[in-house]
Amino acid sequence: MPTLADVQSAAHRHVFETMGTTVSLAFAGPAPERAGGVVERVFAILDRRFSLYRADSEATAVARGELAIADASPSYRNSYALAKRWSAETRGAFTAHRPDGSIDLCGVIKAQAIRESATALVRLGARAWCLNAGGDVLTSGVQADGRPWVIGIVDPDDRHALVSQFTCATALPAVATSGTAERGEHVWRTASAPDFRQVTVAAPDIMTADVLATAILAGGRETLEHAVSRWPIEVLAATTSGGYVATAAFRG
Amino acid sequence: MSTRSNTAAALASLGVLVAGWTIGTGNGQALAQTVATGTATPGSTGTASAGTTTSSAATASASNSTSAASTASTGSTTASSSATSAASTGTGATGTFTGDTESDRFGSITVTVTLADGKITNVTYTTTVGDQHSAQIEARAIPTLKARVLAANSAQVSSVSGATYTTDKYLSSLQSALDKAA
Repeated sequence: MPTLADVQSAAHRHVFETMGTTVSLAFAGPAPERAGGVVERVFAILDRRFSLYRADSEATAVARGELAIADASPSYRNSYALAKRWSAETRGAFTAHRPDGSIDLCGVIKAQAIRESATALVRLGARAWCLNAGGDVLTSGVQADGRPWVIGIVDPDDRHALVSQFTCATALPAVATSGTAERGEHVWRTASAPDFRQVTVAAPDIMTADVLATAILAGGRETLEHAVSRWPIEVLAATTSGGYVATAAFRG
Repeated sequence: MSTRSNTAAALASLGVLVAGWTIGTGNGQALAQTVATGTATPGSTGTASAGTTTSSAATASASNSTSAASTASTGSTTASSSATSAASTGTGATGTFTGDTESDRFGSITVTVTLADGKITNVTYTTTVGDQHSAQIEARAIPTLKARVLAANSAQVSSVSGATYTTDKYLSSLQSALDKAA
């Protein structure tokens, strides 16, 4: 069983704190000078607007009922519409609302920040990188030595070890994982008895990976079946009874 | 990890998996049923058991062969079982036993247990995708034991995906180590 210390290091890396978590950006080669700063700014802008732990954020104003969604900024309304669309797509397993009815868009904001960062990086000419925001990973291109990016999956039984890995490809460059004790409290179960305690999804884009990992964790096997039929994804799910459910890419 | 604890862990996971396919009895009973179909050999009086494991999975414990055999005879599975080699030595059965194939909507699993004098020395299994009548999607995500999940080759891992927890603000010490090494 590999341990944490075994993980390969990348030569060019930019690490910063945001959204209550850590972002790690690794480049396959020399990074464009402004790349790290640009990505930090993308996260900071979304964090200011959508963080519920900031008393002065737009999201807090909406959650408190001080600001109607119709009167919110276009950016806020777009993200809200995005979350609602994913809720419908996952038949309610993913939700933009907390159990008390207040709106929480955390489920899409991190993925949105990763996505916007990717756009910014490509604009700067960076084509080969691996962006990890709190365990949600988007890759572009390949590593410096030509090998594809390989993402380790944390073992839910031992967070200092890996249970599996996923080799990113052009078709599936994004990997996200949700767990039962996930912070942000945007995971609420719809199934009566929980089926899974950790769900990893590899997808064509980070939003799909992130949302579906959350949705499958919340909705259980029914959502898993729906998801693998609806989207071209690979899934590794740790069951609450100690087993795993896996699509082909995660089976040895 | 010792062979014995590996086996116990495998059995425990197995018990859970098999339980998912069977009629909702306890995990241990479900496993007993599977084991029993192979151990119901004339003259066999062995007891197969696996101790409590350190994992979070359930304890799998087969009852003595008499009651286990009767469980098997009243079981609802239809696939035939086979004992590829079985002999009674000492007080327990010895040999390799293949259980019934257990199926659900996610696929099927066939378990083979190796016993030495009534004690389980090895457990192997094969899983298959669902039958041709089930929807394609149902065959795509199938139950798998942890040991069968594609293992991580740490030398190749460039980043780590995991849930973010409040208790350890940083994703995991793995990613942390990675960043420190940079």
